[in-house]
Amino acid sequence: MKLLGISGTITGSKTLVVVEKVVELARRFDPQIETEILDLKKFDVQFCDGRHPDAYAGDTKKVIDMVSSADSFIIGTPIFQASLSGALKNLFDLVPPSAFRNKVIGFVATGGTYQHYLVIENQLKPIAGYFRAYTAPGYVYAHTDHFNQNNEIIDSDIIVRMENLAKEVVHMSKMLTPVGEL
Amino acid sequence: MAKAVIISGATSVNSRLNGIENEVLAFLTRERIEFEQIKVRELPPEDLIYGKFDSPEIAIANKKVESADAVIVLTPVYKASFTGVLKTYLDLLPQKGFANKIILPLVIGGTFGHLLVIDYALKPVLSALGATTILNGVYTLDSQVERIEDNQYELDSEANERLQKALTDFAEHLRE
Repeated sequence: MKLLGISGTITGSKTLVVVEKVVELARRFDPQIETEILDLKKFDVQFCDGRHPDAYAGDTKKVIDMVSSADSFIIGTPIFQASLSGALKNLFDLVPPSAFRNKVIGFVATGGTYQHYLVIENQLKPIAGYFRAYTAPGYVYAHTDHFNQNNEIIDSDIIVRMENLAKEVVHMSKMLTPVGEL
Repeated sequence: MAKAVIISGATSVNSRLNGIENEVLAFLTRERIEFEQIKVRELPPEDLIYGKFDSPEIAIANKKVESADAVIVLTPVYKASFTGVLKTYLDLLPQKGFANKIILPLVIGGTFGHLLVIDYALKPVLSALGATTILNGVYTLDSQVERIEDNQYELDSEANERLQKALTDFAEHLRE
């Protein structure tokens, strides 16, 4: 089983910190799983122009392949205008509908205000629904207050929530045999 | 005089969304409503994706929004939501950038099943941008826009009727 952590932003650094942490916690929970990190900042991804997903080249093709070959996901976004980042939405636009089908997704978001907690519930989960992914019931919303000045997560409650999410995603991925394979 | 800005989040230059946009341009011209256009696809991709708030091209686009009394937002449906292309530009608007502006969302999709993208995906973002007057949008099917020669498009009469009604309502709001 391969768990892919996706940090869905080009700007800022907190989202990657949270994604990496949850992935690390998942690996600690089950050392058997293979993990990988897709940090959008490190790839030169082009805008989706509506072509067939197979027709992209370079980094764009690379990220599509990384998503398609993973079995489960921790996906993180910063909150921009009370929604997901444009960069992450572009990644969703690029991949084929089969990329997340019957796979498990755990979501995390980072924001500067506590008021945007429901962005995951109302903006991200519907997209996961379109892909027919299995969405972990829990999710983690990290606030600037949960970090210290060196961008390390210091809030103990949020670490517990990240651990719970990591366990949920690993557990669900193991238990849910893809429908196509039944 | 009232001014409008049209923001298009189409992903390709020959999107069927152009069929809708052309009708909008013709309507505004007919009604003598001044307008400017922002085609997100034509803004520098680097500035959009890296969130460069200080980019001159982004500043020009933001100025168009700032000076407008109304905004027409166009997007195709991608993965049951607005496009990432559109969102990268909306991410660069200042906080409350749509405050005190009349907003008209126009969406095109492959299936009628995605009508609620307007209410559930797009409107919350428009609200976050400070919009309080969001008019009833128009949802059109891909199949209702036919590509004819020379980059021209023909809009199905039922779809066009709904679009014209929404545009008339939009113009009335703009004159109030």
